[in-house]
Amino acid sequence: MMKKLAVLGIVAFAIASILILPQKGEAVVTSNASTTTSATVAVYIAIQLSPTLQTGIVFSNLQQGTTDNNADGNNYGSGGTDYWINVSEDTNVNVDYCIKADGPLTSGSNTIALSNYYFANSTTTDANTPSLSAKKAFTTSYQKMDTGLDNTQNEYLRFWLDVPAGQAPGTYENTVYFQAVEAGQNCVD
Amino acid sequence: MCHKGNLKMMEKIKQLSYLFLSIVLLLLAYFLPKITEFILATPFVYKPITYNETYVAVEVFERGQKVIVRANVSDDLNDIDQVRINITDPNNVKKVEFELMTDTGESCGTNCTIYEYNYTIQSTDPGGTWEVWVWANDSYDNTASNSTTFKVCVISISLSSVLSNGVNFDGCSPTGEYCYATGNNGDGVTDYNITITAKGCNADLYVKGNQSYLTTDSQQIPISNIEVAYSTTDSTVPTTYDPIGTAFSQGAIGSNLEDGTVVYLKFRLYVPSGQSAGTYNAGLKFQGVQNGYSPVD
Repeated sequence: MMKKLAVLGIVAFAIASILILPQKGEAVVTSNASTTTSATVAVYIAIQLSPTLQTGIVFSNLQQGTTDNNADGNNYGSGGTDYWINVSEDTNVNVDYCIKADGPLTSGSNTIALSNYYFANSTTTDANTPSLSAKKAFTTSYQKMDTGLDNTQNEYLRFWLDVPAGQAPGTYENTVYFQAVEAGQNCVD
Repeated sequence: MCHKGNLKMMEKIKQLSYLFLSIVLLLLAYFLPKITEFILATPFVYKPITYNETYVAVEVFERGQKVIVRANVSDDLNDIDQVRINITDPNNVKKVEFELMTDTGESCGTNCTIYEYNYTIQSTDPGGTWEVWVWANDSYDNTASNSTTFKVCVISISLSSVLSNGVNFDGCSPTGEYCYATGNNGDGVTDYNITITAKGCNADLYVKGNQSYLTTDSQQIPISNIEVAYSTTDSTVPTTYDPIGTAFSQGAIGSNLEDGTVVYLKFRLYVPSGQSAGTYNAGLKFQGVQNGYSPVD
């Protein structure tokens, strides 16, 4: 009996609270104004290199008079390549990839022409892809590689170098450039 | 002989004096009650009270609302002749000039009657403090008066020209960072402000989005990614931002604002990482309401 009375009391108190407590009334006097808002989100592309590619494209133990020497990270014939590029996840457009070199490989006054330096590209990789059969020689202007890739896809790369007979010994260097442009746009030298 | 004549003259003067005194006493006997009545019968007007249509005493009204003025008027002889009223607006224009108030027939005590007058506030009437004067006179032309005031609440908000032209976020990068509206002027004085006009009451100010998303053809950004900071004292606006919602109640940007207050605003937009490029659009709505009341969506 006491329990019922207590429950009844609580219910009555709750109802009374709702009825008695002051409620905030809806305003009658109002004044309204409006404006537009517009946000322009820019095209944003941020290219990234694989860790191995960040350390450089290295050809070790080259011999003169040899062709199609694999770069150290190619893993050609044994596994996927360690060289790839992609764009960051906040890149907000699909992209086309471009590649070029700044000039011949040089060591002091000696050079190896860019026509001896090759690359191949693919959106997938395994022991044979990218394939040597698809190689292209570097140029000093950008060449377009795969197109229309989104920010979840990688562009996989392999590099080969021919060393002409009689090439003077030394460490030869140049710089390779990568570029991602909005899909359908031209590479910008 | 001469002495006898003087005595007769003295006697005559004495008789005339008695006669004059008698007449004065008679006149006093006749008029004294009237004088007393004159002094006691002066009417009295109690302080008038203003009511709304449901006869709840109210001091603040809105345009379109009926103001019922009631005054208790007493008179010892209960011979009130007329009760009249003046209602003057804040611009000192007499909206009601010496109009007769209606005898409601309701008693407010011994020899006391309630008089009433109704005035509906017009849509063009000004906001502010209005004055009410009530006069009463009796059949002896004795008068009494009393006064009160009521307020008419009128609120309007005015956007600065840059704010009217739109809140624009230009060249935002989709890098999961905030993009700041161009009118913020960085850390400088903002071009976005709202001027409050509040007559007869104070105002609360609110903002909301007109839809749930900023949209382009096929992409969207939640409207709550737009955040607003506000200040009534610092035109450079402190950097405490709150998200905007789709209900005014979610976007209070000023409270208990007095007439003439300027609310300074800054906006920023959180652009999610990888948000597609494009121009996204929506609308922002602002509302000023009478202080203490809920906004109306």
